[in-house]
Amino acid sequence: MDFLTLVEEAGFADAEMVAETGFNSSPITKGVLFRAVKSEQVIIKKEKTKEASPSALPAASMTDEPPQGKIEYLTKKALELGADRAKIISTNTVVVEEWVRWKCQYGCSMYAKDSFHPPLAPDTESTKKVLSEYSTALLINGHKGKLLTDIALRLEGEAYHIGYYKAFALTSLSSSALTSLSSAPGAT
Amino acid sequence: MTMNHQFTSEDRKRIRNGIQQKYTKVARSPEGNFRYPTGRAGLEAQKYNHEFLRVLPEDVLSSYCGVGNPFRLGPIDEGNAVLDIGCGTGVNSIIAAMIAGPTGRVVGIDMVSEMLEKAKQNLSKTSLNNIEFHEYSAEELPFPDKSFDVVISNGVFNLIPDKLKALSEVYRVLKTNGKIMIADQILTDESPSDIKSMVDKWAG
Repeated sequence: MDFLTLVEEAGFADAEMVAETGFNSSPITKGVLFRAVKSEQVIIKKEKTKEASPSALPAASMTDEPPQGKIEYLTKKALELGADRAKIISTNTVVVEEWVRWKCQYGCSMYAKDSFHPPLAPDTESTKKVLSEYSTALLINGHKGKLLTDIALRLEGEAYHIGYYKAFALTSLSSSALTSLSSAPGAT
Repeated sequence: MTMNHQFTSEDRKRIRNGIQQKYTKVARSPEGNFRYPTGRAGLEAQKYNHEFLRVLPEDVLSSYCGVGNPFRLGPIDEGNAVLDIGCGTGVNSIIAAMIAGPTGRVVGIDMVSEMLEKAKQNLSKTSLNNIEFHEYSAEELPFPDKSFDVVISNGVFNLIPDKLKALSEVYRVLKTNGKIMIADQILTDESPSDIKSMVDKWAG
Protein backbone atom coordinates (compact mmCIF):
# COMPACT_ATOMS: atom_id res chain seq x y z
CA MET A 1 0.00 0.00 0.00
CA ASP A 2 1.49 3.39 -0.90
CA PHE A 3 1.56 6.40 1.38
CA LEU A 4 -1.22 8.30 -0.41
CA THR A 5 -3.54 5.32 -0.02
CA LEU A 6 -2.78 5.30 3.70
CA VAL A 7 -3.51 9.03 3.90
CA GLU A 8 -6.90 8.44 2.29
CA GLU A 9 -7.56 5.41 4.47
CA ALA A 10 -7.03 7.66 7.51
CA GLY A 11 -9.98 9.73 6.25
CA PHE A 12 -8.34 12.55 4.31
CA ALA A 13 -9.73 13.87 1.03
CA ASP A 14 -7.80 15.17 -1.95
CA ALA A 15 -4.54 13.56 -0.85
CA GLU A 16 -1.86 14.28 -3.39
CA MET A 17 1.86 14.13 -3.94
CA VAL A 18 2.48 17.66 -5.12
CA ALA A 19 6.13 17.67 -6.11
CA GLU A 20 9.51 16.08 -5.70
CA THR A 21 11.99 18.04 -3.59
CA GLY A 22 15.06 17.00 -5.55
CA PHE A 23 16.78 15.83 -2.35
CA ASN A 24 17.26 12.16 -1.60
CA SER A 25 18.52 10.54 1.57
CA SER A 26 19.72 7.43 -0.25
CA PRO A 27 20.02 6.11 -3.82
CA ILE A 28 16.71 4.29 -3.44
CA THR A 29 14.63 7.14 -2.01
CA LYS A 30 13.37 10.47 -3.24
CA GLY A 31 12.15 13.53 -1.39
CA VAL A 32 8.50 14.44 -1.99
CA LEU A 33 5.85 16.86 -0.79
CA PHE A 34 2.42 15.53 0.23
CA ARG A 35 -0.72 17.44 1.05
CA ALA A 36 -4.22 16.45 2.18
CA VAL A 37 -7.28 18.10 3.68
CA LYS A 38 -9.67 16.95 6.38
CA SER A 39 -12.74 17.85 4.44
CA GLU A 40 -16.08 16.55 5.62
CA GLN A 41 -17.70 18.57 2.82
CA VAL A 42 -15.98 16.52 0.13
CA ILE A 43 -17.07 13.27 1.74
CA ILE A 44 -20.66 14.49 1.74
CA LYS A 45 -20.39 15.40 -1.93
CA LYS A 46 -19.05 11.97 -2.87
CA GLU A 47 -21.96 10.30 -1.06
CA LYS A 48 -24.43 12.47 -2.96
CA THR A 49 -22.95 11.58 -6.32
CA LYS A 50 -23.86 7.94 -5.73
CA GLU A 51 -27.52 8.96 -5.96
CA ALA A 52 -27.33 11.54 -8.73
CA SER A 53 -24.96 12.31 -11.53
CA PRO A 54 -22.75 15.37 -10.93
CA SER A 55 -24.52 17.26 -13.69
CA ALA A 56 -27.82 16.71 -11.92
CA LEU A 57 -26.60 18.53 -8.84
CA PRO A 58 -27.55 22.18 -8.75
CA ALA A 59 -24.42 24.19 -9.44
CA ALA A 60 -25.08 26.34 -6.39
CA SER A 61 -24.71 23.38 -4.07
CA MET A 62 -21.05 23.11 -4.96
CA THR A 63 -20.04 26.60 -3.99
CA ASP A 64 -22.78 28.23 -1.93
CA GLU A 65 -21.03 27.25 1.24
CA PRO A 66 -18.81 29.22 3.58
CA PRO A 67 -15.31 29.48 2.11
CA GLN A 68 -13.70 27.51 4.94
CA GLY A 69 -11.96 24.95 2.72
CA LYS A 70 -10.57 27.86 0.76
CA ILE A 71 -8.53 25.98 -1.80
CA GLU A 72 -11.28 23.45 -2.46
CA TYR A 73 -13.76 26.27 -2.77
CA LEU A 74 -11.65 27.95 -5.46
CA THR A 75 -11.13 24.68 -7.34
CA LYS A 76 -14.86 23.97 -7.39
CA LYS A 77 -15.56 27.56 -8.37
CA ALA A 78 -13.23 27.24 -11.37
CA LEU A 79 -15.20 24.24 -12.65
CA GLU A 80 -18.50 25.93 -11.98
CA LEU A 81 -17.37 28.97 -13.97
CA GLY A 82 -16.59 26.81 -16.99
CA ALA A 83 -13.04 25.49 -16.73
CA ASP A 84 -12.71 21.93 -18.05
CA ARG A 85 -10.21 21.02 -15.34
CA ALA A 86 -8.79 22.68 -12.25
CA LYS A 87 -5.94 21.50 -10.05
CA ILE A 88 -3.89 22.90 -7.21
CA ILE A 89 -0.18 22.77 -7.96
CA SER A 90 2.97 23.93 -6.26
CA THR A 91 4.55 26.94 -7.94
CA ASN A 92 7.92 25.18 -7.83
CA THR A 93 6.59 22.78 -10.47
CA VAL A 94 6.09 25.64 -12.95
CA VAL A 95 8.93 25.69 -15.48
CA VAL A 96 9.88 29.15 -16.79
CA GLU A 97 12.47 29.12 -19.59
CA GLU A 98 13.77 31.47 -22.23
CA TRP A 99 13.02 29.23 -25.21
CA VAL A 100 9.32 29.98 -24.86
CA ARG A 101 9.97 33.60 -25.73
CA TRP A 102 11.89 32.57 -28.85
CA LYS A 103 9.01 30.34 -29.92
CA CYS A 104 6.76 33.35 -29.57
CA GLN A 105 9.12 35.75 -31.30
CA TYR A 106 9.61 33.47 -34.30
CA GLY A 107 6.26 32.11 -35.28
CA CYS A 108 3.52 33.38 -33.00
CA SER A 109 1.06 35.77 -34.55
CA MET A 110 0.49 37.42 -31.18
CA TYR A 111 4.11 38.57 -30.80
CA ALA A 112 4.21 42.30 -29.88
CA LYS A 113 0.45 42.56 -30.32
CA ASP A 114 -0.39 43.26 -26.68
CA SER A 115 1.06 43.23 -23.19
CA PHE A 116 0.04 39.60 -22.66
CA HIS A 117 2.74 38.46 -25.07
CA PRO A 118 6.48 39.10 -25.50
CA PRO A 119 8.20 41.45 -25.69
CA LEU A 120 5.82 43.48 -23.51
CA ALA A 121 4.88 40.64 -21.16
CA PRO A 122 7.11 40.14 -18.07
CA ASP A 123 10.45 38.56 -18.93
CA THR A 124 11.70 35.18 -17.76
CA GLU A 125 13.71 36.39 -14.77
CA SER A 126 10.93 38.60 -13.53
CA THR A 127 8.40 35.79 -13.90
CA LYS A 128 10.64 33.37 -12.01
CA LYS A 129 11.16 35.89 -9.24
CA VAL A 130 7.46 36.59 -8.82
CA LEU A 131 6.57 32.87 -8.86
CA SER A 132 9.12 32.29 -6.09
CA GLU A 133 7.08 34.62 -3.90
CA TYR A 134 4.14 32.21 -4.10
CA SER A 135 3.84 28.61 -2.91
CA THR A 136 0.59 27.46 -4.50
CA ALA A 137 -1.18 27.98 -7.81
CA LEU A 138 -4.55 26.95 -9.19
CA LEU A 139 -4.00 25.59 -12.69
CA ILE A 140 -7.08 25.75 -14.89
CA ASN A 141 -7.55 24.18 -18.28
CA GLY A 142 -10.17 24.75 -20.97
CA HIS A 143 -10.71 25.04 -24.69
CA LYS A 144 -12.08 28.59 -24.86
CA GLY A 145 -9.20 31.02 -24.47
CA LYS A 146 -11.04 34.20 -23.64
CA LEU A 147 -13.42 32.40 -21.30
CA LEU A 148 -10.41 30.94 -19.48
CA THR A 149 -9.01 34.43 -18.96
CA ASP A 150 -12.35 35.65 -17.61
CA ILE A 151 -12.49 32.67 -15.25
CA ALA A 152 -8.93 33.33 -14.05
CA LEU A 153 -9.72 36.97 -13.34
CA ARG A 154 -12.91 36.05 -11.52
CA LEU A 155 -11.00 33.52 -9.42
CA GLU A 156 -8.36 36.12 -8.62
CA GLY A 157 -11.12 38.30 -7.15
CA GLU A 158 -12.67 35.38 -5.26
CA ALA A 159 -9.26 34.41 -3.86
CA TYR A 160 -8.61 37.96 -2.73
CA HIS A 161 -11.94 38.16 -0.94
CA ILE A 162 -11.33 34.96 1.04
CA GLY A 163 -7.93 36.07 2.24
CA TYR A 164 -5.38 35.34 -0.50
CA TYR A 165 -4.41 38.97 -0.95
CA LYS A 166 -1.47 38.18 -3.25
CA ALA A 167 -3.68 36.23 -5.69
CA PHE A 168 -2.81 37.11 -9.29
CA ALA A 169 -4.18 35.66 -12.51
CA LEU A 170 -1.59 34.66 -15.11
CA THR A 171 -3.30 34.38 -18.47
CA SER A 172 -2.24 33.96 -22.06
CA LEU A 173 -4.96 36.16 -23.51
CA SER A 174 -6.47 39.46 -22.49
CA SER A 175 -9.87 39.50 -20.87
CA SER A 176 -12.89 40.28 -23.01
CA ALA A 177 -13.39 43.23 -20.67
CA LEU A 178 -9.86 44.49 -21.25
CA THR A 179 -9.33 44.11 -24.97
CA SER A 180 -9.74 47.83 -25.55
CA LEU A 181 -7.07 48.74 -23.00
CA SER A 182 -3.66 48.68 -24.61
CA SER A 183 -1.93 48.98 -21.24
CA ALA A 184 -3.77 46.08 -19.62
CA PRO A 185 -1.66 44.10 -17.15
CA GLY A 186 -0.74 40.60 -18.08
CA ALA A 187 1.82 37.87 -18.23
CA THR A 188 3.24 35.29 -20.55
CA MET B 1 8.55 5.44 2.52
CA THR B 2 7.86 1.90 3.67
CA MET B 3 4.31 1.25 4.73
CA ASN B 4 2.56 -0.48 7.60
CA HIS B 5 3.85 -3.86 8.68
CA GLN B 6 3.27 -6.24 11.55
CA PHE B 7 6.12 -5.43 13.93
CA THR B 8 6.57 -7.10 17.27
CA SER B 9 7.11 -4.93 20.33
CA GLU B 10 10.79 -5.96 20.15
CA ASP B 11 10.99 -4.78 16.51
CA ARG B 12 9.43 -1.46 17.45
CA LYS B 13 11.88 -1.07 20.35
CA ARG B 14 14.84 -1.68 18.02
CA ILE B 15 13.52 0.81 15.48
CA ARG B 16 12.97 3.40 18.18
CA ASN B 17 16.43 2.88 19.70
CA GLY B 18 18.09 3.09 16.28
CA ILE B 19 16.32 6.32 15.46
CA GLN B 20 17.11 7.81 18.87
CA GLN B 21 20.81 7.00 18.50
CA LYS B 22 21.07 8.52 15.05
CA TYR B 23 19.07 11.64 15.82
CA THR B 24 20.79 12.28 19.14
CA LYS B 25 23.93 12.69 17.05
CA VAL B 26 22.05 14.87 14.54
CA ALA B 27 20.79 17.10 17.38
CA ARG B 28 24.41 18.06 18.12
CA SER B 29 25.09 18.88 14.46
CA PRO B 30 23.24 17.68 11.35
CA GLU B 31 26.27 18.32 9.17
CA GLY B 32 27.66 15.22 7.47
CA ASN B 33 24.81 12.95 8.56
CA PHE B 34 22.76 13.22 5.37
CA ARG B 35 23.28 13.20 1.63
CA TYR B 36 21.26 16.37 1.19
CA PRO B 37 22.22 19.86 2.43
CA THR B 38 21.41 20.79 6.02
CA GLY B 39 21.61 24.03 7.99
CA ARG B 40 21.31 27.33 6.13
CA ALA B 41 22.37 25.72 2.85
CA GLY B 42 19.52 23.21 3.18
CA LEU B 43 16.97 25.91 3.92
CA GLU B 44 18.13 27.96 0.95
CA ALA B 45 18.16 24.97 -1.39
CA GLN B 46 14.65 24.04 -0.29
CA LYS B 47 13.53 27.60 -0.99
CA TYR B 48 12.48 28.65 2.47
CA ASN B 49 11.32 32.25 2.56
CA HIS B 50 14.38 34.51 2.65
CA GLU B 51 12.79 36.74 5.25
CA PHE B 52 12.95 33.96 7.85
CA LEU B 53 16.54 33.18 6.93
CA ARG B 54 17.39 36.86 7.35
CA VAL B 55 15.89 37.29 10.82
CA LEU B 56 16.64 33.96 12.51
CA PRO B 57 19.95 33.57 14.39
CA GLU B 58 22.64 31.73 12.45
CA ASP B 59 23.02 28.97 15.06
CA VAL B 60 19.27 28.27 14.86
CA LEU B 61 19.52 27.94 11.07
CA SER B 62 22.60 25.75 11.30
CA SER B 63 20.66 23.13 13.30
CA TYR B 64 18.12 22.66 10.49
CA CYS B 65 17.74 19.17 9.10
CA GLY B 66 14.83 18.39 6.78
CA VAL B 67 14.09 16.75 3.47
CA GLY B 68 11.86 19.45 1.98
CA ASN B 69 9.85 22.57 2.62
CA PRO B 70 6.32 21.81 3.87
CA PHE B 71 5.45 25.52 3.84
CA ARG B 72 5.37 25.36 0.04
CA LEU B 73 2.26 23.21 0.25
CA GLY B 74 -0.14 25.94 1.31
CA PRO B 75 -0.64 28.92 3.53
CA ILE B 76 -0.67 29.03 7.31
CA ASP B 77 -2.96 31.84 8.37
CA GLU B 78 -2.49 34.29 11.19
CA GLY B 79 -4.05 32.87 14.35
CA ASN B 80 -3.73 29.24 13.21
CA ALA B 81 -2.93 26.41 15.61
CA VAL B 82 -0.14 24.34 14.11
CA LEU B 83 1.21 20.92 15.12
CA ASP B 84 4.76 20.05 13.98
CA ILE B 85 5.23 16.27 14.06
CA GLY B 86 8.86 15.33 14.55
CA CYS B 87 9.87 18.93 15.16
CA GLY B 88 13.55 18.04 15.62
CA THR B 89 15.52 21.15 16.52
CA GLY B 90 12.40 23.27 16.11
CA VAL B 91 13.30 25.34 13.05
CA ASN B 92 10.01 24.58 11.26
CA SER B 93 8.04 25.16 14.48
CA ILE B 94 9.71 28.55 14.89
CA ILE B 95 8.93 29.53 11.28
CA ALA B 96 5.31 28.34 11.69
CA ALA B 97 5.01 30.41 14.88
CA MET B 98 6.29 33.50 13.07
CA ILE B 99 3.68 32.98 10.33
CA ALA B 100 0.80 32.22 12.73
CA GLY B 101 1.70 35.32 14.73
CA PRO B 102 1.00 36.12 18.38
CA THR B 103 -2.63 35.03 18.09
CA GLY B 104 -1.59 31.64 16.75
CA ARG B 105 0.16 28.79 18.52
CA VAL B 106 2.51 25.98 17.60
CA VAL B 107 3.14 22.65 19.30
CA GLY B 108 6.26 20.77 18.29
CA ILE B 109 6.54 17.11 19.23
CA ASP B 110 9.44 14.71 18.89
CA MET B 111 10.57 11.35 20.30
CA VAL B 112 14.21 12.31 20.76
CA SER B 113 14.82 14.25 23.96
CA GLU B 114 18.13 15.73 22.71
CA MET B 115 16.28 17.19 19.72
CA LEU B 116 13.71 18.76 22.04
CA GLU B 117 16.47 20.22 24.21
CA LYS B 118 18.01 21.81 21.12
CA ALA B 119 14.56 23.06 20.02
CA LYS B 120 14.08 24.75 23.39
CA GLN B 121 17.56 26.30 23.15
CA ASN B 122 16.73 27.57 19.66
CA LEU B 123 13.42 28.98 20.87
CA SER B 124 15.20 30.83 23.69
CA LYS B 125 17.19 32.71 21.04
CA THR B 126 13.97 34.22 19.65
CA SER B 127 11.34 36.43 21.25
CA LEU B 128 8.51 34.02 20.37
CA ASN B 129 6.20 32.89 23.15
CA ASN B 130 3.61 30.94 21.19
CA ILE B 131 5.44 27.59 20.92
CA GLU B 132 5.52 24.51 23.14
CA PHE B 133 7.76 21.49 22.67
CA HIS B 134 6.83 18.04 24.02
CA GLU B 135 8.13 14.49 23.89
CA TYR B 136 5.10 12.75 22.37
CA SER B 137 4.61 9.98 19.83
CA ALA B 138 2.77 10.71 16.57
CA GLU B 139 1.00 7.39 17.07
CA GLU B 140 -0.67 8.59 20.28
CA LEU B 141 -1.32 12.31 20.21
CA PRO B 142 -2.48 13.59 23.60
CA PHE B 143 -4.65 16.36 22.16
CA PRO B 144 -8.43 16.73 22.02
CA ASP B 145 -10.24 16.22 18.69
CA LYS B 146 -10.13 19.17 16.29
CA SER B 147 -7.32 21.05 18.05
CA PHE B 148 -5.25 22.19 15.04
CA ASP B 149 -5.70 24.05 11.76
CA VAL B 150 -2.52 22.72 10.17
CA VAL B 151 -0.21 19.77 10.79
CA ILE B 152 3.27 19.97 9.29
CA SER B 153 6.00 17.35 9.22
CA ASN B 154 9.42 17.22 7.62
CA GLY B 155 11.21 13.93 7.06
CA VAL B 156 9.53 12.07 9.90
CA PHE B 157 6.67 9.87 8.65
CA ASN B 158 9.16 7.54 6.96
CA LEU B 159 10.48 6.77 10.46
CA ILE B 160 7.10 5.98 12.05
CA PRO B 161 6.38 2.23 12.26
CA ASP B 162 2.56 2.50 12.29
CA LYS B 163 1.89 5.20 9.73
CA LEU B 164 -1.86 4.58 9.47
CA LYS B 165 -2.23 4.99 13.23
CA ALA B 166 -0.24 8.24 13.12
CA LEU B 167 -2.23 9.56 10.14
CA SER B 168 -5.50 8.64 11.87
CA GLU B 169 -4.35 10.58 14.92
CA VAL B 170 -3.49 13.56 12.72
CA TYR B 171 -6.96 13.35 11.16
CA ARG B 172 -8.57 13.27 14.61
CA VAL B 173 -6.73 16.33 15.96
CA LEU B 174 -7.24 18.43 12.82
CA LYS B 175 -10.20 20.76 12.62
CA THR B 176 -12.61 20.34 9.71
CA ASN B 177 -10.91 21.75 6.62
CA GLY B 178 -7.59 21.52 8.43
CA LYS B 179 -4.69 20.35 6.32
CA ILE B 180 -1.64 18.19 6.61
CA MET B 181 1.50 19.30 4.76
CA ILE B 182 4.31 16.73 4.68
CA ALA B 183 7.81 16.73 3.23
CA ASP B 184 9.27 13.24 3.30
CA GLN B 185 11.25 10.49 1.62
CA ILE B 186 9.64 7.64 -0.30
CA LEU B 187 11.27 4.49 -1.57
CA THR B 188 11.87 4.30 -5.30
CA ASP B 189 12.79 0.64 -4.94
CA GLU B 190 11.11 -2.30 -3.23
CA SER B 191 11.53 -2.39 0.53
CA PRO B 192 13.03 -5.60 1.97
CA SER B 193 10.45 -8.36 1.89
CA ASP B 194 11.18 -9.87 5.30
CA ILE B 195 10.49 -8.06 8.55
CA LYS B 196 13.97 -8.70 10.02
CA SER B 197 15.81 -7.03 7.11
CA MET B 198 13.34 -4.19 7.22
CA VAL B 199 13.88 -3.58 10.96
CA ASP B 200 17.67 -3.82 10.50
CA LYS B 201 17.49 -1.17 7.80
CA TRP B 202 15.12 1.05 9.75
CA ALA B 203 17.13 0.87 12.96
CA GLY B 204 20.48 1.14 11.22
